[in-house]
Order: sequence, then structure tokens, then C-alpha cells
Amino acid sequence: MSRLPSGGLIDRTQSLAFSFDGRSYAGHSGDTLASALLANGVRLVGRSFKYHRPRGIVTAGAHEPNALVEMRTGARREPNTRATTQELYASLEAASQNRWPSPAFDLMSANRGAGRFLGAGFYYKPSMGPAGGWERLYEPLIRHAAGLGRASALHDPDAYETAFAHCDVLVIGAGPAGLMAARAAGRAGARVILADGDLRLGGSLLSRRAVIGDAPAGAFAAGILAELAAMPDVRLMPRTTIFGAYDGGTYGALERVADHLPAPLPFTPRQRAWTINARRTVLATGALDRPIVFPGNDRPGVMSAVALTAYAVRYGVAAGATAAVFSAHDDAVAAALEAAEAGVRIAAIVDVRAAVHPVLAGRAKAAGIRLIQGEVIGTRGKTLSAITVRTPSGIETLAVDTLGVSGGLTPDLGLACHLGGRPVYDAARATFLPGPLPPGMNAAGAVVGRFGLAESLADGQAAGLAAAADAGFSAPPPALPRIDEAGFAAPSRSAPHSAESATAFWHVAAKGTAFVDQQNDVTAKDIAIAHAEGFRAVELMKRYTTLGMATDQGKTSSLAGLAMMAELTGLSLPETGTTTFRPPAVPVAIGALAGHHRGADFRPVRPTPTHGWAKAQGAVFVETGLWLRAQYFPRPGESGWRQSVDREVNATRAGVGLVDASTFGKIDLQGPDVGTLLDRVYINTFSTLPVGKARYGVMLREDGFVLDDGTTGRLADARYIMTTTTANAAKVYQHLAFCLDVLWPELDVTLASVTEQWAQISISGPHARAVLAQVVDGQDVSDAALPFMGAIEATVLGGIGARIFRLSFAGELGYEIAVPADAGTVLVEALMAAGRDFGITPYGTEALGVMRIEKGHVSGNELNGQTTAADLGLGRMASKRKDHIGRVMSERPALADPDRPMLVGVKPVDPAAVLRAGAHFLKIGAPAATAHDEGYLTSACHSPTLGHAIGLGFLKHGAKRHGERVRAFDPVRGADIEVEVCAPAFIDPQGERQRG
Amino acid sequence: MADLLAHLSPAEPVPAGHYGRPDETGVTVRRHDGMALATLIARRGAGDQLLAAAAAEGWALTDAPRLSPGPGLDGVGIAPGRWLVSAERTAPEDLIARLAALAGPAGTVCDQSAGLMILDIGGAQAAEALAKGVGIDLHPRAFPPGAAASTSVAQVALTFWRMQGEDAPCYRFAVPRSFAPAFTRWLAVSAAAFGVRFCDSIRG
Amino acid sequence: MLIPCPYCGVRDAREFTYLGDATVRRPDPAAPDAAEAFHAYVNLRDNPAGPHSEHWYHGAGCRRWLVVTRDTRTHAVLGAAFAGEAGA
Repeated sequence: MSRLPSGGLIDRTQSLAFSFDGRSYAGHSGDTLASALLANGVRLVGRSFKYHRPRGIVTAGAHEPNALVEMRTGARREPNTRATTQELYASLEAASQNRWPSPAFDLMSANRGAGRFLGAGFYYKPSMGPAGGWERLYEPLIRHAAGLGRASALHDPDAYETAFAHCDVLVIGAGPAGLMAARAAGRAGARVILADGDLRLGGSLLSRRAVIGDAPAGAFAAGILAELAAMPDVRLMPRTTIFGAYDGGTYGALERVADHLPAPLPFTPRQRAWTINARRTVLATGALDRPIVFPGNDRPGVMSAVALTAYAVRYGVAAGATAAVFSAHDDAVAAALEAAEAGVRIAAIVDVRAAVHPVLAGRAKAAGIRLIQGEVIGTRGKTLSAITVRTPSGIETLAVDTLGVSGGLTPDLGLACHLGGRPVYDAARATFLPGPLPPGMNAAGAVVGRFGLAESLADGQAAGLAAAADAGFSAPPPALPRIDEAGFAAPSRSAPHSAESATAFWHVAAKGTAFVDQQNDVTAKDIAIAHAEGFRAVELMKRYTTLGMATDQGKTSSLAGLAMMAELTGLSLPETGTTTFRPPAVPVAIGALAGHHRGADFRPVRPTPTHGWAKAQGAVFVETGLWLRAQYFPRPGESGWRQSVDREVNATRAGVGLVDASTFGKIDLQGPDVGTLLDRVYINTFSTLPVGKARYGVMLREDGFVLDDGTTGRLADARYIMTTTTANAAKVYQHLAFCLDVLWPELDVTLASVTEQWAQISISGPHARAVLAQVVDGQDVSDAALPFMGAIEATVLGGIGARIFRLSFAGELGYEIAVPADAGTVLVEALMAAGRDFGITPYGTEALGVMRIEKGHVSGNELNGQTTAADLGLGRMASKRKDHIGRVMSERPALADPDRPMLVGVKPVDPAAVLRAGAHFLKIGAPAATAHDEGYLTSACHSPTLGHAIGLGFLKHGAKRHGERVRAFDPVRGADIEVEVCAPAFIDPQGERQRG
Repeated sequence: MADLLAHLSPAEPVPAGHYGRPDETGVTVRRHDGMALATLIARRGAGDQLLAAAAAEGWALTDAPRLSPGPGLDGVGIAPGRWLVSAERTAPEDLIARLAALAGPAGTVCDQSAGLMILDIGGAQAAEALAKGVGIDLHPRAFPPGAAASTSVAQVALTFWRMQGEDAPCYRFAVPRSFAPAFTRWLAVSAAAFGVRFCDSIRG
Repeated sequence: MLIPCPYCGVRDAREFTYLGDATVRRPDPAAPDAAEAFHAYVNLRDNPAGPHSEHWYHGAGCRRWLVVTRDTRTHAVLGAAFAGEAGA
């Protein structure tokens, strides 16, 4: 409950002021928030999840179940931060969670009476109660009572980033085994990464008092770290937690770059998510202290025995004025003796076993510490003031304010199991150990049950050498450091762990509320309820009781719960098994995984070649996939987008308009077999296309549905240029590559995507030819020289290589002029100048959409993956003389069914009515029910050319029903509009304009 | 840091200037405009013939993801029998004509001069900055001068290679034109901690 | 998961697009049983536990289709070759 006069890896010359729940305290550089709170006597740090019980600090590490706090304020406020890993910094602000109004006086602690509702199965049982009970009673009750911290609802002001790293040997954990492994691999010449979540590398060497060689453990660690830091191919990664193991030696890691600072330094992220590719991995994550379940074990002041020692040795903090230790194995006894040596007053060690190791017993006696055989059966005090101990000779009460507890050591083996490995039970060590390891991984030290210091160091070195050798770097094994096994200063961790020293001990049989999982408020009774109600399989027990969920994922609590269930079922622990370990092993912010890609950079924004020009023209832009395209070009005085779009359409149909069509996919195909390939991917024939001409084509997926459409032109005998829809550019390339790589590798065709190379500007309208004639370099563009669907190469604007295609999506006389992308702006400016006398008007995607609906051209709304060529009215295009992809499947009865809805146009009977895509077609008078559904409206707009709404859609027997009236029924948006069915082409059905 | 680019349009490449840590320039970015670029693709079964035709012109073209410098041009393997060819101070049509003549019936050529942005990224911290998006191992043992890779960086599919004859590592990136904003924005943010200068672009 | 592209080298699986079984062959569209054969080709797949040869497209790299042999039980990638050259 105070700072010890000396010791610890803290800088006592540096005092750091901080606040907790609004009160000011001081700590030192090197403290965690938890150690600083303990040094200030703050033992009550929050209220529990369901029952609002007062809780204190339990551990000194990332597996902390209780001491979760809200860090920082305002936009940086972050809930559920473990005080045990949060480094102290000047002016740190933290607050306890889940208490009102304060952790010491919490009105919600009345929930202890509501425990009946919140016990095992509380998520499920209320939903089976009377109707309305969930919404009105249980959900509000649970929502008000349960929960952890509050998230900030504000935009996170900090940046995050991702990064990749590569190594021969990744060492996970920088404790005794990890340090030895990294040094051995590094000396062998391997590229090594040593990652550990702690700010300071060294693991248990920092928090225990062993002597290695002639040096204290901490100095030994520092020596190895200095050697590693000097190796050019070794990367030390403190504050970096490996959170996931993935296939192929890939690991996910989270580096807390700036969590130890009030705010990130300029130009650095708050956190960095690493992807590490390792040829070999040494897992050296160590072992965690295991709690014992006994009545009153959640009272503030009850903590892990190893944590009690860690606070004393590493942080120079006595967690209490007088402590006892409740143990079931020798390492806990040794830890207690080390805490005493560091200056903590230890009144007694209560051990469940008949005898502890004689060397330890002797040391305890010499230190004046009582060694009691017995069990703790109860605790007292708001924060701990006394414990009740049951001994063979009776009940005894000890006045202590701190109790260190350890029932055994649990290897921290989650990463060994992320790829599906199952832990195996080791009866001698009374714990689960990693089973078969993932390819490329070996494990060393306490994580594989080698709990002793000497064996851990040796094991780590051997694992590091083996990993390096596997990666092609061999070196002779260096001599191992000498460890004094006899002297008091080199204690007990070096004493070999014998089978006798680890007695499986999970819980105390005594009356009273005993917690298995403090984070989720799961009690021993809840395990019994789950058993009684049949939720006995471990995965069911976990979900029924919530044992092992949330931020700590049951790292300390799970095993006891499994053991207690095993006792109830009568099965052995191996038969009972463990729940599944999945990434992430520690909480990871989504922002860290997203890195740079959020907000404006969520995904790439692709500008068209004329973006800058369009912006200068005042265009309003719209995202179409990744592309950013001009949507419309408002002019001063226009009241809204409709007015602008109507003007753009009218100007184009009456004069000439211009649009950037560069976003269409463009694929260059060359070789003698291009025609053959195209005949096989399009439903219609391209091998007979003359040079200098283009043709509209439809391609199917092999299942018979339409994949894409577009125009493909033949520029030379063995050279075609294909256009795809904007959305399907990459998909069509992939499809063609599949045809050439997989289906018909004998075809002599080369493919190249040239989408980025060409800017393509479309001009449409009666004056289009006159405009075009002014930009070409003397090329004859008369109807005779460049007829409809002509495709020629020419030069424009004095020598710019261009391709000119005579076609128009708008249904007017039109040309698409392609020039190298860097000449796109020059071309568009020249076209604007050439068309000035004709009132040339730039238009955007809205007007383009209106004009293609007026013309009855299908687009993405119709090519939706569920339509066939016949549905689109394009069935007659299919050549009967050849096979093509999708032909056989398109003839399946359901796809050839004449009842399938097919493309029609519709116009409202009331010219003032507004149509919206998505409405379903019903016969007049038919009930609005699925059984009467006759199709749906896919595209709709206001047609400025016709002066009323128009739409395209799919209607059963649509081709035969022109002139009939149906309902366009849209219950979602409350519309029910009578429409007349017509041909899809509303204007110029014979196509005279485009051939003009 | 998140606001480093807040004043810029996400649809436009990052303009010339110094970004991030003001007292250092750990990364330098220089854009080449007007370099001639083309894809050269071996026809089915004609790979060896194409390599022989290149060799006859003194161009040791190799069918691998590597830089193959030749007289007045550079080839970079991007796929089996496929190269991205670049030539400085050359008109695109001249490169196309030269490659078409070289390849004859053994290969096909496509102009990409306007389709790719060429960026040289160098400086003491270039590799460290690039590792924030480049998943390829850039360690000198794994990615020596002349090594090339086609990969995805910050959601952008691109090709890059380590240039030869430079003291400090320098990487040349060929980025699809419409992805130039996304790529340069990612680069500016990733290199900001080291200080990054986007130099005025050079022609040729 | 990492896939050893025969051209590009070892790459993260996120650079690739998965298609599926690489052992199925596009049937003869002129055969009398073409309808049945195409139904099987398009829709019917085995679900083997163990090594499985499957098509992956290296879209972010060389844009070639590969035949990758993957153990469906462990995700171990046992090999990769260009489609058309795989002999599978």
C-alpha cells in the first residue's frame, strides 16, 4: 500500500502527477497505472460487470480481469484499458468504470440482490419468458446494470498505421526463454524479431529476484538486450503484442506506439498493426499465475501471488501493509519469499499441501514467515482486512490487507492453438500444455511447462538455435549461464519442479460466493447451474455462463471453470477439454487494422483523366465504384440537379454534348486467334467483324447469366480493342485470362489492360460530326468514310494518336474519341472550343443515365447477375452456329422459360407521377402478394425529352404486353402507380439518329 | 497526423512540397513525366524467340521479375513472357516502333506511357516507409538492386523495382494513373515521420 | 496464408482470387449429354478433406491463373503451378 524505500525499475528522480477519478496522485517513470495506484494506496479501482461488486487490481499484466479503466477524456476517451499495462505518463487521466456515482459508493451494487436474473444463462432465459418481458423488463435492467466502460462517440483524432516485417526467426515473448532464443538465433546470423507486449523487455526476469551467473536477473536481461540491440539484423519490438498466428508463418502484432504518451508525437501513429512473416517462430510467452476459487476471492486486496511479488520487485511497491500468500505450489511460495526480501511484510504462507519444498520451508522460517497448511475459506472488509483460514487444527483468522493467491501456473499458449491445435493435459504439471504446434513454430520455457529458471534458459537457447538452423543459420551452442541453486538469493525458481510440487488445486469447498471469472462475474454456483441445466460441454458452458469472454478471454479464469465442470461431470480434465483459442489474443482496435484506410482514404479514389477540367467547370462529382465522375455541371441560377440534368440532356439531343467515358474498361487483344476467342466469350460473332468496325457484344457466365456487355472494335487483322462496363473491367480481364490460361491455352492471343492509358471522350448530338471534324488532322469523318459502328485509328490536334469509334450510348449521332490519358484535358478543351458555336454542353453521369434509359439501353441495373440475354431482349443476338461460354446452361428450362420477366419500358398513366426503381409490377386489381408478382422496375428517371417519367424493368411476357397497364407497386416507399407498358426504346426506336 | 492531407483533395496526387517532420528528409519522391512506357508480351510459344531477338540487340532480357537494362531502355518482368519496358527521353511512338520491330511476330506491344505514373522513391528511410504498405521483403538480401515485384500496395496493384547503381536504395514505382492520388497520399502519410519531400516532377 | 506463385514468389493469399476445384474440365458442348455434363461442371463439387487442387488468380501480381494444391484440413499449401502447365 506504499512505495518501498528502494528497489524497482522505476526512476525515483522523476515524479509524474496523474489523476484517477478526479483525485490527484503521483507516481514515477517506469510505473504502470496499476503500480502507481497501489503505491498511492488505491485498492478499489472499479465495479464489476454485472453485480457492481467492488474490485481491485489482480495481476500485473495483460491478462488482468478487473482493473479496466477509462483512459483519457474527450475524443481520446477509451474504455476497458488495463491499468496493469497502461504506462504512467505525466498528467495521465483515468477513471473507474461501471460505477455510479463512485466505486466506493455504488448504488447499483443492489444488483447483488438481482443476481437471480443475472446468473448463468442470463442472456437467454429472459427471452423465453412472457411476451414483452424482454423489452420492457429484462433488457433495460441488464443494460443499465451490466457493461464495462463508455466509448467516446467522437471522431478519433489520432492516426493508425499498418506495417510489414519479415524475419528468419520470430521470438514471441522476451522473458528468460525468449531472450535466450533471440540471442542464440541472432548470434547464428539469422534475421530475428523479438516482440513483447511489455514496455520493457525481460519478462519475469524483471519481476523476480534470481541471480544468473554473477548478476541479478534484471542485469542479465539488460546484457542480452544490449547484445541484441547491436546486431544489425535483430529488431527488438517492445510494446508489441503478437495477437494472432495465421497460416504460413504469418503473425499479427499490435504495437502501442503512443499509448504511453498524452498524445502521439507529431507525424507518428497512436498504434501500428504489424503483419510479420516469419520462417520460424519460437513461442516463449511464459505462464500465468492461476487463481484459486474460494469464498470472497474477489475482494480488493486479493491478487495474484506472482503479481504481489512483481509489484514489489519491479515497481518497488508494497501492495499492502501486511500480506499473506495462499498457495498450492512451490513457485508461489518462492515468490512470497522474494516479495518479503524486497520489503513486503508477509505474515503467513497458507499452502494447501501437506509440505512445501524443504529449502523453501527453511527460508520461510528464517524470514520469520509462518507456514500454515490450510485453505482460505473467507475474506472480510470493504477492501480486504482479514482472511479466514481452515487448518487441520481449526479455523483461524489472520488480519492482513493483502492476499497473494496462486493455485498453479497456466502456460500462456493461445498462439499455439490459433491454427486449430488443441492443448494437451499434463497431469504432472497439473495444467494444459501446447499440443502439436503449427508448422514452423517451436516453443520454449514456461509455455511448455519448463517453469524453472535454469531449464527455461536452456530450453530457450536450444529453441533459438534450432529455429535458426531450420532457417539455414547454424552455430554451436554457447555455454549456459550458471545458476546458484542453493543460495537464498537464487531461489526456488531454479529448484526443479517435481511432480509432487504441483498439486492440482482449483477451488476451496466452503460456503459463500466464490468467483471463477471476475471479469464476467461468473461464480462457482453458475458453473453448477450450467451443469444442472445441461450446458456441460465446455463451449456450451462458456456461452451459457459467459465464462472466459470479453477482454481477458479467460486467460486466468477458464481453467478453473473447466476443472470445476469436470468435477461435476465426473470426466477427467483431458476428456473435458478446453474452449477454442482464436485471434486476437488481446483486444485490438479496428482502427489499427484499418491503418491509413479510413475517412477520405478508406479506399482509393480514382479520378478520370479530365477530373481537373471538370472540377474547374464546377462539376458535382459522384463515386461510381472507385471512380469519381462528374455527375452534372450546375450553372448559376439552376434550382437543383434536375434542372441541370434536364438542360444537359436537351442540349445534347438538340445540339451536341460531351462526357468523359474513360472509366470503361479497355482491353487490348492481339494475335491470330483473337476472333476465335471473342466468338467463344461473346454470344454473337466477332471473327467476321471487318477491320475498322466495332460491334456491340454480350458475354455470359458459364451458368448462362449475363456477365457483361460492351463494344469491341477491330483495329487490325490481329488486333481488337474491347470495352467493358466500368464496374466489370477487372472481372472481364480475369475472365479472359481464365479462358486463355485454363480453358484454351492453345489460343494465340495476348491480353493487356489499357484502361489507364486512354482517355475516352464521347460527343453526342446532331452536331457531333461537325465538332469532330474540327479536331481530327484531316481525317475524313463523313458518314461514308466513318459509318455507324466505325472504329478507326487517326491523329487529332496536330499529331496526337487517337482512336475514334462511331457509337453513342445516348442514342444520338455520336463518337468516342480516345487519346492517351495525358492528352485527355487537351482534347476536351479542344472539343469545347470546336463546339462553342453549337452550344456544346458537358454532361455527367446523370444525363448519361437519363439518355440511355430514353434509348432503352441496358446498364448495371439490368445487368445485375440475375438476367439472361433473352431477359434483356438480346437473345436473338446469339449466334446459333457456334458455341460460347454460357450457351449450354442458358438453355436450361428455367432460363429459357417464356414466363421469365423480360425487358420493357414503362411510363406512368399520370404524367406527373414519379417512378422509382425497385417497384414491383402487379396486374391491375391483383392482390399485392408475392404470388402475383410479375416483375420489377430496374431503372427510372424523368425524361426531359418526353416531359414525364419513364422506366425500364422486367415484366412477365413483357414483349407481348406493350400497351397494357400494370401497377408499379412500391410498399417500402408508399407508392402505387399505374403505368403503361411499352417498348424499351422511348426515343428513336429505329436508331435513325445514330446512323444519321 | 491524420490531418496531414486534410486540405488536399483525395482525387488528386499529392503536390510537390515537404511533408511531415520538418527538420528531416528521410524520404525523397521524384515523379517522371513523359517517360515512354510499354508492355511487351511474348506470343504463345514464342518466348525464347523474343528473348533471342532482344539479345541480338544487346538487351539481356530475362523472363523473371527482375530489371533487365538494355541499350536505351529498361525491361522489368511483370509476368511470364511479359515485361514493362521504359525508356527515358524517348517519344512513346518511337519506343513502340522499336519494340514492335524487335519483337516481330514473336511478341505484341501496347503503349502504356500515359497509363502509368513513374515515381522514384529514395532516401535513408525509404524502405522503412515503404514497409508500411509493401508486403514484399525489402531487406537487401531478399530484394537486391534489380529485383522487381508486381504486388498490391495500399489497395493499389502496381509494379516496382529497386534501381541499380544507387548508393542508398532507390525504388522505382509504376503506378496506374488513376491510382496516383491514393498511392501518393498513402506514401506521404507513411513517410511523414521521417520527413518526405515530393520533388517537382522531371520530364523525360 | 501464403501462396508460392511460380513467377512472383511467395505472396499473401490476399493478392489472389479463389475460384475452386481445378480438376473439373469444361465438357464438350456438342456432346449429346452436354446439358447434364455442364450442370455437373458448373454446379457439382466434391468437398475433399485433404490435398485439393484449386484455381487461384493472382490478380494483384502477374494476373495469371494458378493451380494451387492446398490441404483443406490444415491450409498447408503443397505447391502451385501455372494453369495450363500444371499437368493436373
